[in-house]
Parts: sequence; C-alpha cells; structure tokens
Amino acid sequence: MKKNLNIFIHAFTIELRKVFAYKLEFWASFIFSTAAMVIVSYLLWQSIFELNQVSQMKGYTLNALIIYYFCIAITHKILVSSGMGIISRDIYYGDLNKYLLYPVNYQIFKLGTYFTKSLLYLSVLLISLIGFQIFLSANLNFLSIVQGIILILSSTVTFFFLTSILELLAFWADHIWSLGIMIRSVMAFCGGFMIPLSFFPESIYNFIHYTPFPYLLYYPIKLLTNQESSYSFFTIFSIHLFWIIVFYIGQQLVWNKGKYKYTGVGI
Amino acid sequence: MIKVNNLSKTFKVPTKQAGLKNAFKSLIKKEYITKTALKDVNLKVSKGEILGLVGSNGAGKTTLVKILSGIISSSTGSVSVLGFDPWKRKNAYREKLSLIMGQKAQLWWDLPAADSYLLLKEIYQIEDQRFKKNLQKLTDYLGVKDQLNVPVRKLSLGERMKMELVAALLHDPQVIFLDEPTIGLDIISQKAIREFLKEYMIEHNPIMILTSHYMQDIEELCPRLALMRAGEIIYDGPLNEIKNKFGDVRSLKFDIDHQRSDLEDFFLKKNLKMQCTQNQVSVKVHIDKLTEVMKDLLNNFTISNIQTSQVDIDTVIESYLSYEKKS
Repeated sequence: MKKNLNIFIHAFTIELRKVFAYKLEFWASFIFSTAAMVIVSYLLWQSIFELNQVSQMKGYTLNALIIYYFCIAITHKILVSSGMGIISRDIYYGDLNKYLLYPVNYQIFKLGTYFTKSLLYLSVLLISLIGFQIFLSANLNFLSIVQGIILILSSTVTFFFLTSILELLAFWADHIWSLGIMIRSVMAFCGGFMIPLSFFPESIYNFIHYTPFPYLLYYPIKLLTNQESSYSFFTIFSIHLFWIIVFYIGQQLVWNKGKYKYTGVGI
Repeated sequence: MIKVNNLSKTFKVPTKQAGLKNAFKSLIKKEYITKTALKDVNLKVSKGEILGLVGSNGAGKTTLVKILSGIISSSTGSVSVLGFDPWKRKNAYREKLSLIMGQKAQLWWDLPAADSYLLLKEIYQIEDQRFKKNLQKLTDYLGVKDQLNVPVRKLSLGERMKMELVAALLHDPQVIFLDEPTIGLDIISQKAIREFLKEYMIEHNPIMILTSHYMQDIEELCPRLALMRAGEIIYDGPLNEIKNKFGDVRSLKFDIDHQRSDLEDFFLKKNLKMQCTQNQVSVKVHIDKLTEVMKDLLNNFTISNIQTSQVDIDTVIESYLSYEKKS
C-alpha cells in the first residue's frame, strides 16, 4: 500500500516536471479552450435572456450560468486530463514494455500521471471561485466547496477507469481515438457540459440519470457552486464508488484478456 | 538459471488482399495468417554466463527475449527464469530483471536522467545508500556524470544509451537482457559499452543474454553463441567451436591494375566471388584452395600487396547459416 502510494506520488511528480518542461503549451491550450467555451456560452445565453426578457431561467441567472459554464469547462478539463492515449499509446508504440518490467502496478502509475494535469486545473478552479465570490457575487460556502472538490476528484478517478477500459481496447483495435471522442461527447451531453441538465425535457433528463455522467460533472458543480441539488454529497459519492467498482472490474477483465494479445511492438 | 523447454510462439497476423472489392470483404470478415515466431526452442543459461543470441531480422531473437522478460506469453512450452514463470510477472521476479532495449528508451524523454533515476529508486525500492553508491559508480564508469541533469532529448545517442544502461543496472539485476545495446552508436561508444559490460559481468556475475547485429559485440562479450533462424535455435555452443568449424576461410586481398572483367572471369571459373574497391580486390577462399588460387593469380596477373587474414565472425556465421540451409 505504502509502495503504491509512493509510486502514485512519484508518477505524479514526474508528470508534473514534464508539464513544467512544456508549460507554455499546457497553459495556452487550457486558457484558450476554456475562454472560448465561456465566451461562446456567455454570448449565447445573453441573447437568450434578452430575447425572452427574463432575469432567470430554470433557476439560473445570467451570472449563475456564467459561473456554471466556467466551472463545468474546467471540471471537464480536470476529468479528461491528459486526453486520449494515456494507455493506448503505450500499447501501440510498445512503451508498455517498460511498465511491464517494473515491479509496480501499471494502473496506479498511470492514475498518478493522469492526476497531474487534473490537479493543476483544479487549482485554477479554486482560484477562480474566489474571483466569482468577489466579482460575480456567487453564493459559495466553505463546506460546499470542500464537498465539490472531493466529488470532482472521485469523478476523475471514475472517468479514468471508464476511459482506461476503452484505451485497453487498443490490444485489439488499430484505432481507438474515435471511441474516446464518442465517450467524451456522450459525457459532454449527459453531464451538462453543453446545457445544464435542468433545461432538458423530462424524459431525457430521467434517462440520463441511469448513466454515470450527470454525477461526474453536473452534480459536483451544483454542490461546488452551492446550488440546490436533488442529490446529497454522500449519495453522489456513493454513486461514484459504485461506478468506480464497476469500471475497475471491467478494466481488469479487459486487461486480463488483452495482455495475451500484446506483442510488445516497438522493441 | 534460465530454462526454456520446447518453447513455441505463434502470432495471428491480419491480412488484407489488394483491391477495393477485398477492402469491402475485409470489413465483414477479417482474414488472418498464423506466423510462427518461435519453434521448439530449448535453452539453458546459467548464472555468470553471457549468451549471444544471433540471427537475421525476424529470426525470433526479440520474441524470445520478450517471453523471457514476461512482456508476452508463450503459446506452448515452459519457461523458468530464476525459478519464476516470467509471464506471471511477480514483483519478486521483476525486481531481479532488467531489459535494455537499444531501440526503445525507458528514460523519460523530456526530463533529465536524474529525475528518471529517482523514480526508479522508488520503483525498485533501492535504499538511499545503495542508490547513491550505484549511481556514482555507474556514471563514473560510463563517464556521464556531468550529463545527469541534462534533459534526455538533448543528449547524444551514445550518452543516452549510457544513461539507459545506468537506469537498467541501478537495482543490481540478476538477469539482464540486452537487445541491441550498441545499435546506431559510433565505434568509440560501442567499445566503451562493451568494456563496461565486461567489467560489470566480472563484478556482478549476472545471467546475461545479448542480441546484437554487431558481431564485434558478440565476439568480445559472448563465449557462448545461440544462432537462430526462422524461430529455431540451429546452433547453441561455444563461439570458438563455430569459428573453428566454419572459420577455415581466409580473406585474400591484393592490389591490381588489370581490367576487372578478366579477374572476374578468373574467379568465376573457380567458383569464387570477388569484391572490388578501386584497385583493391578481396575474395574469400577456403584454406585448402588458398595456395592454388594464389599461385594461379600470380601466374596470370600482375598483383601487389597480397595479404591474407582470418575472416570476421559475420562471415563465419554466414557460412554456418548457408551450410545449414544446404543440409
């Protein structure tokens, strides 16, 4: 256990040093993609509010929506973190060889790597919350922020195990990028990344709740920004634990089958 | 000890026929061919022994190394390394193992090697004192101490390979697989790595398997040779034995100012193949025919600077392979 924790921390720090080696690229891509999302959403919703001559829609003011989009854009970044390829690239290019030789758990190592960018983005989110409190009069409180952060972290672990199942399909398929894009699009739609879920028709809204995605993005943001939520912190956290177990079992099954397919190309 | 019994490995490789029609067909049904990478391989390597694994591309050397290191599974047969089944990938086994891949870096490309070493220290749970001692010793010997804090991507190929060696040996492995460790290196770097490996063998006495296309690596480091062809070990024995058996060929070199076609005809009649660079000719002649060939040459041509020498190991192995093919 102690060794795994050490490996996690070292994998995290080595990735951090890699990020610092390319800091300009990292921050530029983060700032531009987040800014683009927030600006487009602001312009769109401002027109909608003006057109309908209302100050609130489905419980959201324009300010609340801006905070929502800002938070969800960064949280989405936290979840997708290193992007596709964190495992499949190792399989395709034979880099998995070196991890198979190390007396460590490959998944723990990769999780440590995965968390690096996530935690950097999370730090930006926390700083932004202070700004929202000051400039946009957000109704934040300390407990909801702590709960929101814990949920964002458990969402990241959940999404890591979900994507690692897809990434491990690289043992069989020549290209799995499209699957990654597909799952991200589904998460964006069902997690409220495009539109807050309360704007959805009731049937779709209900259906979406059978998937893990609203609990990964939408509800953690609701808690973080101290908005009314139909689910408590403990309920969402329990749902995360359930999905983590499901995806972990799935990942182990795929790994145990796939390792026989591995040819160690690249040597 | 490494024990390999009746080891075989087959791969299913997808195939695609040419043409649009076949492209559509492959969407519905994929076709595979079974490729045999290893066939009934038997091998034993003891502690302190260094085995040279030689063969042309696709002979199965790397597949064998991958199976021995637990990267891929075997199809049939059994493998035991230090009493472990490599495929089970027990940590106790992996802690004793090292694989150095000349064509695949294990160091983190964007970071200085020192950062990777710190991570390896954690991975292999190397105590502080042992880590410092090993790092100092290895970097001193390989002369890369000053480059420890330079990002790996900015090192020369030779320096990078030396850093890879340091990374692979930091944890004092008992089994070392070297897959073309000198590939792409200049002669000086190749020599430095060979010298280092010799010293390392004397001091640490591990089991070592070396695959290389540079015969000088094999000749200098491996008293024992395993020759592979099409997934099979066709020779496993002392290097000297194969050299004595198939090294009875001499390289005959001389200078000439005659037309090359005359000379070519001369050697063709004797079933010999000559190679010519500017006015220097070289030809490989069996030791029994050497006197006769030289006599005829001197009688028919004006030649100078005649030299005979033993052929290199490449030629010996080439002779063995062609002999095996014929028989």
